[in-house]
Amino acid sequence: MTRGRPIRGLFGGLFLGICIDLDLVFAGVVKLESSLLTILPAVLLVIFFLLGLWAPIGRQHRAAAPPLPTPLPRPSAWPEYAPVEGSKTPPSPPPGDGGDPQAPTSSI
Amino acid sequence: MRLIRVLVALAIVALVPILTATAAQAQLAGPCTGTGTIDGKVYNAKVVDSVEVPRSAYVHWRGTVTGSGKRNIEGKVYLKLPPPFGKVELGNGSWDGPSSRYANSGVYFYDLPSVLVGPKFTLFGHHAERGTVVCTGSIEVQITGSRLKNPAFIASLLLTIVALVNVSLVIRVRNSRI
Repeated sequence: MTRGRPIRGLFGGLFLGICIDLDLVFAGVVKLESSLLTILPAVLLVIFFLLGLWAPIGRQHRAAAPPLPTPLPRPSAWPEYAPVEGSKTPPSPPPGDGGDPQAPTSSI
Repeated sequence: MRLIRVLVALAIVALVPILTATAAQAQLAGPCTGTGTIDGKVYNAKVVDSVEVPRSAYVHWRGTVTGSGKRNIEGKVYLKLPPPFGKVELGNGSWDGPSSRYANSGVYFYDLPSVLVGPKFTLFGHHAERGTVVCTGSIEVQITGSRLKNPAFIASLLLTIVALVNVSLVIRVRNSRI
């Protein structure tokens, strides 16, 4: 999950607005009683709060959905002659039983 | 993108009229006169709109108002700050009480700090007689000198760079921990 930083944007916008206000005043660009000095921090506060919510930079594009996994093979019965854990020798396959290993077998 | 367009449009609508507004004209209204002489240069409040004065100087000032007889007077000179700060009265910039004088003059020495070099101040003033304001005036004042020698200006520029770096990080996506 990804998100921006709206609270930091709010305070960052206010701080930037105050700094730009100071620059404008000390550079003599605006007069000291100008209402721009009041409006600018408020406007930047709102703008950077919204940009903090939106966070448009660094957003990762969502990757294409991975393909569905291939279906599992059909289950097959465990042949009786298969080695069993702990047994000494596996039973030999019955003669003539070379047929389908997937065919169901019944245990006697 | 639509949000950005709306914000840019709002910024233009709000800021363009403010930035392009014409500056208020300096004026001295009423039956008053006021002049100041700094280093031989005469500044007449009825003539000049804005003045640039040195950081430190002797001012030979003179003011007059028409009339006669003893009466109660009141007046002040103040600096207007942006909202919500309001007005700041200047030191030695007010007078009141009963008076029979209709002209006054004197010499005033000032020595301002370097942090005041650069900003444009608009000074306002009024004079009242018998409880009625008879004269009002305003003038734009700027202190001469290099702005780059103003330590407050340098500090504010550095702070602006820090603030810009900060907000550039704000608009980046934050990767949350799982």
